[in-house]
Amino acid sequence: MRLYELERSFWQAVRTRGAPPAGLGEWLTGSARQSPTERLAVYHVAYWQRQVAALANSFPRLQALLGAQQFERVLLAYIEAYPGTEPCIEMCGQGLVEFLATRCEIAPLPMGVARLEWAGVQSLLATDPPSVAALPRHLGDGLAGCRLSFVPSLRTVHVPLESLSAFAPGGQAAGATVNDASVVVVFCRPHYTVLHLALEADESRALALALEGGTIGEVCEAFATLPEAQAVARASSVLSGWFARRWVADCAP
Amino acid sequence: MTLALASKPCLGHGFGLRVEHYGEILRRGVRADFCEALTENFMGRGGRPMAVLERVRRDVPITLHGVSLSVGGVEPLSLPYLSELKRLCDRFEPALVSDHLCFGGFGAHRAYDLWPLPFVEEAVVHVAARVRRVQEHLARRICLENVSSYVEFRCNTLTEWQFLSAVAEEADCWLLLDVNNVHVSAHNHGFSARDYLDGLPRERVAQIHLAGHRDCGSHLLDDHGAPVASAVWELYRHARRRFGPQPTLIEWDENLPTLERLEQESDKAREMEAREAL
Repeated sequence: MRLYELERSFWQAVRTRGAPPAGLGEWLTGSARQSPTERLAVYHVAYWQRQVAALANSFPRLQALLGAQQFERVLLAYIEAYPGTEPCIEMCGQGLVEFLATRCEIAPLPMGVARLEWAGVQSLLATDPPSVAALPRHLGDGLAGCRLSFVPSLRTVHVPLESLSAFAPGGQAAGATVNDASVVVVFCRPHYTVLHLALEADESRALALALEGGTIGEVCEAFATLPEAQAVARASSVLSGWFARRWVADCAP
Repeated sequence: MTLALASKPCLGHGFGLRVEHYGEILRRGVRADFCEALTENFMGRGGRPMAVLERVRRDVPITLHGVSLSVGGVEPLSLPYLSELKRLCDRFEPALVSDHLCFGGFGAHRAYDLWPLPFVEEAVVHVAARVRRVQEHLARRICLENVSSYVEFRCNTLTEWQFLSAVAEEADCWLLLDVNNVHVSAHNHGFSARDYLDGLPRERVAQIHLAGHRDCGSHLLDDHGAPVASAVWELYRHARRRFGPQPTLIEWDENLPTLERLEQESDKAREMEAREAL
């Protein structure tokens, strides 16, 4: 058996769920204590269990919501459909949200929780920015033409409010009111720990504009529905908050 | 690669960095001659992992140890992976860079495991060519580690140590000898661990790994979840005599003990070496 064929056969055999593939003994030897199938099972078990464990580590709240059995059933189907491609096993969950969207038995609440948990993982694993920008001291006319770039760990997720409650029970949903059905949550890792914050509707609009590359002047349009004095104060408060929370990597024309 | 084989670094004794110890390491540093960082845990990362690695690197030399190079794989080598590895090397100047003599998936897909290669000439030629490309990319010689294995291929025409030696010679790379892996594979496949060590070229071994394993009845499992077994210490003593003092590192992943306990396990290797030197 040539190398290519052997590696393909090994991959297929390890990934086969249920009955082991026939003919293993044609290319694997047994030992006094184990048949070829039993020997291959060491790799089969490790392949599935290692990734399930990594995914459980990334999605603990999703696991709690679905229950251990359904969680494992979903994950095994996911690993079968989306074999990992990234060198780091912590990234093996990168397709899970997309996969869950194809599963009609997954309700919006756990779906939202999965999105929040994955955003947290991405934020944790992100690179450091070359620098973090400080709030400009002189807010002159030129500032309106500046654009913001954000730190790599910044992630935004739009989820049902109930998902946020399940993700962070007892936690804050800063700007959400009882009438809001959904909320934008920002994740960022200012130092070593990932923090998340639910945004009020106007701030989430402003952040979306900034992330799309809008100038600060354009970003401030998000507050245009307020009376002018309030809009200025609100825009100033929101933008100051972004700098204070170390979300901004750079502020330049 | 024109680097002389005699330029192997003398690093002493150390242990592998694990996430669970990061907080303590940032507080008080490490008590070791060197530490090993799992390459993939630091690729494209920021935050606490990089702060830990910077802190450790300030205090002691580090080695980079990968699990995802898949040097025996039939898919093309991943250039983004190699580029990121080169960036890490440039930034942290590791004393040694290593990965495993295995394949780790198929096509673009990862197994997140270290799968054994067939011990055949075709694999020697294939792996050696890939190792040379890696070494050219990194502009340095790398170490290849022997993996624990639980299967054997019918097509094998070489012993594992003949295969390892042939790859090392053909690729002009170093070997990272995992003594626990030799013990585990010797038990699982019924060969002599001492024959294995005696069959490796002395000048190619540049680092040694020690770890614990688990007896599953039908086979030994290399789970890095226990202290180094007495039989492995005994084999290490033999390796020490054959290969001389080599950088020796304790790996511990499952049932991870305290940082202090890990440092004590590393001290055992140091003490054994000191006794042997008398």
